[in-house]
Amino acid sequence: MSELTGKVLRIEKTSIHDGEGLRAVVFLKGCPLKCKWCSTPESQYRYSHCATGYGKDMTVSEVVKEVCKDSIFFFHSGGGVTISGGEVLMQSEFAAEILKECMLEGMQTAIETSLYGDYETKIRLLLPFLSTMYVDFKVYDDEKHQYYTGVSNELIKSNLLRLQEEYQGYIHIRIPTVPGVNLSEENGRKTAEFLKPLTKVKDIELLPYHKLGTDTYRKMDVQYELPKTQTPGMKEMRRLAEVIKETDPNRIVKIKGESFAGMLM
Amino acid sequence: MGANFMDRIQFMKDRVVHTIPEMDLENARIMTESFRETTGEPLCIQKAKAFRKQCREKTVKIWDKELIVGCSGSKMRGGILCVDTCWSILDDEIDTINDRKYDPFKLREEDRQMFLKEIKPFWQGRSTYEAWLKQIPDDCRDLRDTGQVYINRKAVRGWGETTAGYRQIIEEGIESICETIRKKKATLDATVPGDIEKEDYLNALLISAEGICELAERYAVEAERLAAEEQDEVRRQELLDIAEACHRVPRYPARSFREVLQSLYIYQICIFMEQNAASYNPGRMDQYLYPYYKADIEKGILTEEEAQELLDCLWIKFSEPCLFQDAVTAEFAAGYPMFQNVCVGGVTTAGMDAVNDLSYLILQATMDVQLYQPSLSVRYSLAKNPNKFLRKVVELIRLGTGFPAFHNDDIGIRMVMNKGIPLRDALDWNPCGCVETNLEGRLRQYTALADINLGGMIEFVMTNGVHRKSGRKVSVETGDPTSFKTYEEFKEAVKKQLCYAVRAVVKGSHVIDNVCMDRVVPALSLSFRDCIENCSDYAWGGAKYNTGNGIILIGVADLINSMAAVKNLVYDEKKITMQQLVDALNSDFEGYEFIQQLCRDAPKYGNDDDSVDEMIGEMYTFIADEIESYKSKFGTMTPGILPVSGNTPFGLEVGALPYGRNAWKPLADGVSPNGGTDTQGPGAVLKSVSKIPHDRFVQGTLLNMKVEPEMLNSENGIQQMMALLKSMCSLGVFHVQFNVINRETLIAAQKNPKDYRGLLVRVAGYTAYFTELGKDVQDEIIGRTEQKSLYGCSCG
Repeated sequence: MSELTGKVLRIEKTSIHDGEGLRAVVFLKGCPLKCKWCSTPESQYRYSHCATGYGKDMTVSEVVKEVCKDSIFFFHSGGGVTISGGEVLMQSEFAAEILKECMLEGMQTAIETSLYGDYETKIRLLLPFLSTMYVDFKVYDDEKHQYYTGVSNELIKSNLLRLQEEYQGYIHIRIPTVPGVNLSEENGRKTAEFLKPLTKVKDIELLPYHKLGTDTYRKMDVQYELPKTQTPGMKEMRRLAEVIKETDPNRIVKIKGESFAGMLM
Repeated sequence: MGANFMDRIQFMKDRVVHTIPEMDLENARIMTESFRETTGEPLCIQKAKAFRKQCREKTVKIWDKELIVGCSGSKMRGGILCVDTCWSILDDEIDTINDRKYDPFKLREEDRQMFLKEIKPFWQGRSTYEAWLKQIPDDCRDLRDTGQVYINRKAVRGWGETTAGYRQIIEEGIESICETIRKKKATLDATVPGDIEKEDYLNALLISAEGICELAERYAVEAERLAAEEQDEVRRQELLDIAEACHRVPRYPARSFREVLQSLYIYQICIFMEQNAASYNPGRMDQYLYPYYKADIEKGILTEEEAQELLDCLWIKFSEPCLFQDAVTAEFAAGYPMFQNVCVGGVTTAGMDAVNDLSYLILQATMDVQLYQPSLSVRYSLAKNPNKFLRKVVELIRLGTGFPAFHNDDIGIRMVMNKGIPLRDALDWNPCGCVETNLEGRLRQYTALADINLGGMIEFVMTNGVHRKSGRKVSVETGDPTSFKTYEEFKEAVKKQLCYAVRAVVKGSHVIDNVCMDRVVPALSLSFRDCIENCSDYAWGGAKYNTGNGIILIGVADLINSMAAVKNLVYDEKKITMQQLVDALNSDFEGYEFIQQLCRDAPKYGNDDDSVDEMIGEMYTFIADEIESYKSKFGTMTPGILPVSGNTPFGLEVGALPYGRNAWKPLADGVSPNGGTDTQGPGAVLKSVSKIPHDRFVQGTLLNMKVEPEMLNSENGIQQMMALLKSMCSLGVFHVQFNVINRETLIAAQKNPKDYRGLLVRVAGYTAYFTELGKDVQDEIIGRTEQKSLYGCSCG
């Protein structure tokens, strides 16, 4: 097995939020985006941040060994491994090796990505070993995207269009729904319009913004840039889901894992 | 569900919850009178006559609105004193019983006087408890007195820990059992040595049988009396139905679902009356009640709703009685614990899926009533039981009552087989008391005779046999720990300490076996076919199967974590010397905070970490082998791991331990990790726990797990919980029960952080100590405990 080494933040076991079934989630370190709402700021820097000691170097075989400990849970739940971040594409070769080995172990495989990375050299590498892909689509408007995440979303959009042509698996779109950033009817409509032709997209899931990461900011002594932002209410979340439904009636829309059927109760 | 029906249940439930437990000495008085009258007769006859006199003279009351009737004593929530077993317990606590810390009982002044005047003088020097106190072996006494073993439990109360032959009582009826007894009697010849004893015993059975039938009859008469006075037409009819049932059962076979429940409950109060004890387990109710349910439904004389109401009523009856035990035993098992374990699911004796409509109604009864009794258990057969059943189980877990106790059926069957019982019978096993294994009407054993303090075993290794708290040398010398050159030597010392304690407990167990030969129970033995066939009481080994008593281990995680810390810090990584560790433990880490931190940081059990878990298989196989290497007159001794609440008092007797635990703190419960040391989620806990050879611990193993409500709030969460339970079965873990961390707990933890230091929660992709999080994050986590609708989020 590969002795390739990567930077791993941590491996979370039996997660129910990062794919089908019970998942082992491998969080990699390093991210080209700097989302102001990021709940895992300790994952942003590939190299240890200010001696806070988050993460460690691991080889592919070490990661796979750790993930394989949960095989029985994958078997009964239809779960498997999910590689998350940080940004997976920052350590694409490392991730590809992990996914390949896990696939050989009979596991379902998934990644959570912003798709911010070069298609030819980063994304294509992963595709043969992936059953599912979770793509964070944060804000449609590029200017806003640049303001809140530090990068343009043109690359993300073009990668999505390309995956529609070349990827054989399913894509789940996730929108971290942050009031004042992307919780607007306009963003909902534009996003839905953009995704409408993409048949590989299985569903759009709205995830309410939360503040669970703020403790880590304190520990790292890094300023949190959205101190006043509140977790959106169910009503607002439903309104956004409804806008997406109106724009693309055939699209499956979920709020925090559960299907949204429309406003009919 | 009919509103009236839940009104009745709520009314009866409130009545139980608001009734203060009282000492109920009526039975004790009657028994004393009877023994005076029968002095000189064989003991079994004396016992049977005392029981029959209780049945004839005890107060018979029917409470308002109830549909199933019966009470062992004169008070709804009474603690019964079995004077012949342990009158002196009440004598010892006569001034404190009203206000003791665990399980107080109200003792009325007139009862106190009666006890001192009538009961005490007669029984002084005659109880089994006194005999035990005189005969306890020295080594066993030393370990008991220093809190290293707990072994008094069986001497202070009756048998319990049994599953009577309910099936025989309800299907055959007592009259028919008596016919069998009379036939057996006819085969005896008083000139043959031993036959007179047999005849006496069979007569005792007949006398007890008479008592049971007469008591039922008295309830019928009382119901008729009340009916005659009753103004309300509906209630009047209910009382007449009660009368009809009680005229009939348990003397004759039950004919309907109502009669079968009444038959069962009359017998239940009788065996509890005969010997106050915990754990008279109704067992597989969904199996033996089902034919009656099905027949009544098919005949159209019972609806599902009526069946539910009757079951709910019975459930409340199970919650009425209160176990009376001494203050120390109550500390080890607090909460007036009756442990009447009802079980659903599993496989039939033909190996087929045993889940039926009644299995669901029984689960629903626990959901409806939400009281502490009966203890509801599930036998879950991964291969045979349907997902719909598992889902219903998860819905019950979701309520956060701690029920059901979820048992892996295959492991339960293996445990029973490992007791020497053939598969044919083992397939019919049922959980007993806490998580022990039992067989209806066929098996005699004390499932939990004594507890061994595993934390104490580590302490003895570190102190060369000295009990730190008292300074007494009470255990074997295993050498100065600083002289151990290798981890192997340390491990051998741990094993020697374990062997010493097991040996002492086995001796004590044999003494209790001898003392308990006088504890005959003809009313219970009536439903054990082999007791009749063998003319031999349950107490004497008359049942079809007998096993040696259960020896229970407490502090499983403390033992593993201590050994892992020593191996890691002293021998593998050499971060500290044994001398430093000994010094640190001697000072309870005071002035050795650096070492304590290293101890705390050492790898811990419950995280699926092989460096810790690798020793589990060896150590626990060793312990099981050691216990099973001893035999009693009833069979091979039997190991188990179930703490009830004994991990707390045991912890009070143990000083600092090598994994960083401070002195006098509680030990870990069951096979669960030490509080707050399992940081890798529920899967990792199950993986570590699965390293214990569960099926070797034939008296059961108990795992408590905490689950965050978030896990059970959504359809996805429920599905994943089902997957987790299935995984647990595949891993060969025997049992799990869940505490849902509720909103109130989190709020309390926010207010009083120092009381909740070990409380772990999941944050954003990692697990953290709740009390160490900022208030904003805490609030966010509290916010997510809100129960959402199961089906989408459309009903806000």
